[in-house]
Amino acid sequence: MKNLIILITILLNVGFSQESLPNVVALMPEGEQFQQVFNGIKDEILDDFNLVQVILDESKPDANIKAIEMAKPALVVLMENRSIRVIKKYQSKPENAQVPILATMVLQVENETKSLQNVAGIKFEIPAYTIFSNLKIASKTEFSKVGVFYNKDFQDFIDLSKKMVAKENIELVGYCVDCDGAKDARKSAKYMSKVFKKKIRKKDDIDVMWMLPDNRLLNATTLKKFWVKYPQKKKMPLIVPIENLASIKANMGMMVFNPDYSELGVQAGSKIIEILLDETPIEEVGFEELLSVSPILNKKRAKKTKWKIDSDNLGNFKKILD
Amino acid sequence: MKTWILLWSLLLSSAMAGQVLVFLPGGKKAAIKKEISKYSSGEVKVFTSANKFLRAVKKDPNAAVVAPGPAVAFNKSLKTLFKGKKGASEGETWYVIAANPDVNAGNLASKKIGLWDIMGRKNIKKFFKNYFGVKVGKTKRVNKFKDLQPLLGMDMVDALALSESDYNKLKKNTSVKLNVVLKSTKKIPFAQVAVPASGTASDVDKLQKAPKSFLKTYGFEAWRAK
Repeated sequence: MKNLIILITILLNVGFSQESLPNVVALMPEGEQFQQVFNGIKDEILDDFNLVQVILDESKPDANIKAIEMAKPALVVLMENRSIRVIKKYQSKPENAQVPILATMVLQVENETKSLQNVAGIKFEIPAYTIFSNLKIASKTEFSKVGVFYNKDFQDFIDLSKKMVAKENIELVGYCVDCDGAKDARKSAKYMSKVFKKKIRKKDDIDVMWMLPDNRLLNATTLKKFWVKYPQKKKMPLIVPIENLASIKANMGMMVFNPDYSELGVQAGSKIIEILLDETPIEEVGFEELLSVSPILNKKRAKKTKWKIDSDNLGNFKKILD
Repeated sequence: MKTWILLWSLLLSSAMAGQVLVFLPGGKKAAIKKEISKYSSGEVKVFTSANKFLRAVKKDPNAAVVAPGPAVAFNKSLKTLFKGKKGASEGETWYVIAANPDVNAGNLASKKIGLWDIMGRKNIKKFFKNYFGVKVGKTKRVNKFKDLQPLLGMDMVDALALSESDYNKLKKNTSVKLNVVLKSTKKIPFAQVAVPASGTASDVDKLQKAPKSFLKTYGFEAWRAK
């Protein structure tokens, strides 16, 4: 039945679209954020391409592949890590292997799509440069040192982040948690606590901390044994990766930077134009940083941590919690 | 079926007559709509993306528009009624700026230029030719002013094209040393109120009374009748 619905959706999409324009297929899970990205792409490419939506059904990858093939796409947009398996199978047929793929909303996108051919993408992690240049604009408090805990497989990301924020005279001080053997949540919490007491608050004199979206460092154990016990209780200004942690109830994060999903779609649309209209070789298009963010400010938490916000720039926040 | 669609389109287009299409890059849609609705008898639609705005103009050729100068200037179907002004000026100088000292006016055609999209993708080459007198290669557009800084800061482009006032704002926000590579050969007009070249102006006259807070969002102080 689900198969039939997918096929009808494709037929309707293709049937009502402008037949003279080539098709671009978006393989995507259901959900509001995916739809916002889809709409952003559509806004950007509507004059030159038909955008056909195929909803990901992990239990029936063959139906998804059939739906993509029926649309005879000039390019396929892949959204979210779960779509990769379907696209890998789609590319196993030689006639599909040359269709360019644009990956978006995929964490660690370069690594995750290594098994695919003809692929470019937009990274889904919020870049440090975007976070801290935005923080600078929003703040009256001056800062120059940002602390971050990370595991060693994030080393390249941290090195690149350090280089980028240095342009704005910001020093990113990284503390590698598993480099000295802290392999589980309990040991990670212990290591982070020790570093917080001895370095972050003392020797290194860190102004603000940046929490990465890594569930090995952000889980029930580390929350209880480190994040609540130290950064929250000791009133450390904290940039968090999840909206819940910046809520009034959680009383932990001062700010969260979410992707602006609609603009992410526009960014993806401009990549499609680069590949299909400007005919830029896909390896030259490569993997680009995510550009546009929607920041949320927990004003109450900022006050508690004595972080001064520039009231002239409050308009830059999507939401202000007070 | 075809006749039915045709009739329906005619009905829709006549129902939409009297619309005011406002293109305000980076603006707050709901607040602007509320404000402008006080000064217009027509239905007000606010757009923050050039693509959506240009499509709406095409779809409703009877609508009056309020939009940045280049978005009006490149649309032959529109006739300007009022021009935004600040002091004696009806526009401002734009710059192409870069952080990398190797970028210069001579090699700009081989560089990627980022800009805030106030004219639409298909008008970009015309924009540079008309206002800077140069041919450009690759460009990257953003829909928000605040996305210009990361665009340059993360080396996603080699240079940025932006107005003098936006350049001053950017300089305040960044520690990166920026150089002016090129200056526009003429001033780029502020926002304008325009109507269809063949239409009448009666119901947009009231827009002249739009409050200063609205004009400020476009960077000017008052309207001047053309």
